[in-house]
Amino acid sequence: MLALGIEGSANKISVGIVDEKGNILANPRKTYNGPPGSGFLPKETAEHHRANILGLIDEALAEANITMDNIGLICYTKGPGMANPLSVGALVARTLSQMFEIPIIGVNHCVAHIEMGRLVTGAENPTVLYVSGGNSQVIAYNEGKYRIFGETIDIAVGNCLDRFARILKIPNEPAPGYNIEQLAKKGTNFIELPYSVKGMDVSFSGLLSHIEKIADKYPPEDLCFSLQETAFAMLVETAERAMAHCNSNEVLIVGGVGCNLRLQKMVQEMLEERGGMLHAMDERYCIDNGAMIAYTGLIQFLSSGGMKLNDCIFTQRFRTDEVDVTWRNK
Amino acid sequence: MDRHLIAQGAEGKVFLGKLFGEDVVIKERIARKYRHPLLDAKIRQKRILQETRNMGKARKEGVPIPAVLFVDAANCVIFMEKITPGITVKEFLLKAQDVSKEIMIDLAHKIGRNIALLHNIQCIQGDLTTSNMMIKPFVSLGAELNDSNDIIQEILKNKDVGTVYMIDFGLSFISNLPEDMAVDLYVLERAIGSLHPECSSLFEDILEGYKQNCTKANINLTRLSQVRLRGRKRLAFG
Repeated sequence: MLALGIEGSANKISVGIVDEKGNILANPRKTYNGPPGSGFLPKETAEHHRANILGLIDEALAEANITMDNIGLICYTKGPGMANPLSVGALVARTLSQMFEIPIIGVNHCVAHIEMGRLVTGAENPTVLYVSGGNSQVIAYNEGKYRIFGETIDIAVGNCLDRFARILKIPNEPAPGYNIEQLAKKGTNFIELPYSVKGMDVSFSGLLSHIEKIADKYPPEDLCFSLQETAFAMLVETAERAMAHCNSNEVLIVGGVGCNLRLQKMVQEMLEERGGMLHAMDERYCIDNGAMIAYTGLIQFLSSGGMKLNDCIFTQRFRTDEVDVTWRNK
Repeated sequence: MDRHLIAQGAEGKVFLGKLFGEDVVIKERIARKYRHPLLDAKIRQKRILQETRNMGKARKEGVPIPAVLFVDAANCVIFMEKITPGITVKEFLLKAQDVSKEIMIDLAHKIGRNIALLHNIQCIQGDLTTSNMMIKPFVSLGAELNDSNDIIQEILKNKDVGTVYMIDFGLSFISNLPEDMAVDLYVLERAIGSLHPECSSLFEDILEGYKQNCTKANINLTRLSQVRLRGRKRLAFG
């Protein structure tokens, strides 16, 4: 059975086609970027998604060399995310489902990141570090749910990086975080910044406002370097706490910030001291994509069935631990 | 130095060893390779000072806390008194059979009192769980307690748990906000709920002991009910 998945919760719109073994037949994506010094706003982002989604569906079908008649399930991102962009994916998914009389299912974006990570890396039961523009969570599976052991109590780490990129007027192409990573490689001087870990939780807002204030006093390279070192150390520390708490020995990094090689290296070093194992991915799967929605929707559908059309809403707030993980044993 | 590892957490390692011929607990914050050396040194130094300072303050206030015997700040090592004979509250609750209501209430009240005394001096423990509390029983004359079962039997026989110690101040901090105190209690409530679901009234009894000893119990407990309602977590976005 083939599933078509639509992802559009933030500034990427993507359509993926997968089979139940997780083979990805197509996974095209388009990204909306605001001008330097500005982020992506809901209205403009949704306009971008509306302009591109039908083309992407055609592109995905052509790449997989199939037609809509071969699709057995439509999956879309139900949440969490920005309302306007989410509405585009949900609307197109409902329309396709009715036009071609195909079952439909809404998927939790965060859970989809985790399932895609497990599929691509083969990680069995890892502690998950989910770091993106909208989320920073440390997650582990326990009794039928992905439980959140620690998370940011204010803004996400990716948001912190993106907003600092705006202060420095760094281009948003291909991604603000990527450009910060490149600048950071040239940084040598470590500038002391607020480090705030509260038990299992982290906070980035104080870090951001502090570095905003000193942004014109130091070279951008050193600022980016110190920002990464400080923010990532906070994440690695909480991930390690969660591992100690759950007696886990693997870490899976998912979400857009997960592509950052410095973060991957730091987690790797933490794990070497514990004799653990890292599962990391590249930008094809770390960054939001349609295949992760299609694959997660499909395994969910096979274990607990589809959704009624009436229930196919979207929601900005949808916690990782609200989903019943029916497809995993134990 | 002769020492053997008894625990490894995210922060560092805990050993049993000797200092001037006495049994001691040695807590060492190890350097973490993944952190920038300057950041690493800063974090470890700050935390070891915070920990020892708060332990000292709390002990002065009459909260049973292992005595800090020696601090090697340069290497981030704390030497402290070993609680012996002793058993963690977690182990006691998991292993002890047929614990009488009387003993449970005694235990809960002592825990509640300890937390209240900490909060009275604005000390937030930061990681209240049953594994961070230890029971040191009154030992009857001539009794030999060789393992945790002996200790449990001794506690059950005495009908009094003895002294309840608070250990591990690694995440403690000073704050006078009702919010921080409420979250401190909430963390304990959650820990008890997940580790000892059968001890349903334990937390209620702890709060009873807390109320009797905390000067701002009313404000903090009102806050606790708000914290419970919203949970500790915000709603996730994107």
